[in-house]
Amino acid sequence: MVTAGNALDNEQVSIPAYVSVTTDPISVTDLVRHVSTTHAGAVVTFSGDVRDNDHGRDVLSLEYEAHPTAQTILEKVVSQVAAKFEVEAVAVAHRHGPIAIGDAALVVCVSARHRGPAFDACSALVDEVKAQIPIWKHQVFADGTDEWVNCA
Amino acid sequence: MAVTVRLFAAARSAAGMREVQLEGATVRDVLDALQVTSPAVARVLPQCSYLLNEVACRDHSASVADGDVLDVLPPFAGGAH
Repeated sequence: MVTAGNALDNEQVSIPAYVSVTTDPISVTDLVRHVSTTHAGAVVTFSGDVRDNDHGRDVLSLEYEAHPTAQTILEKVVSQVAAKFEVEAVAVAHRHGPIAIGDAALVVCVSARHRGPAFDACSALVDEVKAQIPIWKHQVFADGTDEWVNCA
Repeated sequence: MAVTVRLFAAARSAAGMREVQLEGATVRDVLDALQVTSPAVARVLPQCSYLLNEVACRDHSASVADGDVLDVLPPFAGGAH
């Protein structure tokens, strides 16, 4: 299922936020457009890409599964975290479904007047989104075994 | 009470099913019924969190009503820093 990205304004501080949980490919280049503003002197981006290895084992393929509430939860997390920093705009996209090795699974872009808050907000967004978004990762290894990550 | 239980990720894999209708008066009853229906899922349940009608449910003594939806959520992917 593809969920279109929603442009939403944070109610408390009105930080423009673009938030998307999608099965479509995502890219830093596309997301940067959502945070670009003449007020900002700094744009920090993060691309979390699918690795071909995990804990020393070769990963053949990987799939993310999203709970139906993932978009709503992501919107909430992004607005809560963004409100803590002096930033101009944020954009966050998380992909689900089968994802090829090397493709981006999570992209975060932040613009701010200065680089300090942009770096800090980007790092905090990555940590909080990964911790809170109801998305699961299933990986298949070269030796034929498979696992749901964090679910031994 | 007839409750729809939706299983995700590792819970779905263990149970071999995506969704099941189960009877019970409380969340605990429904989870007990789930483990009778699918003993393999018992291994995963201790790590899971639950949503009752898409709201977090930590109190397993909570009452359930006909038509309620109980989601079984294994730990999220999270990831190393």
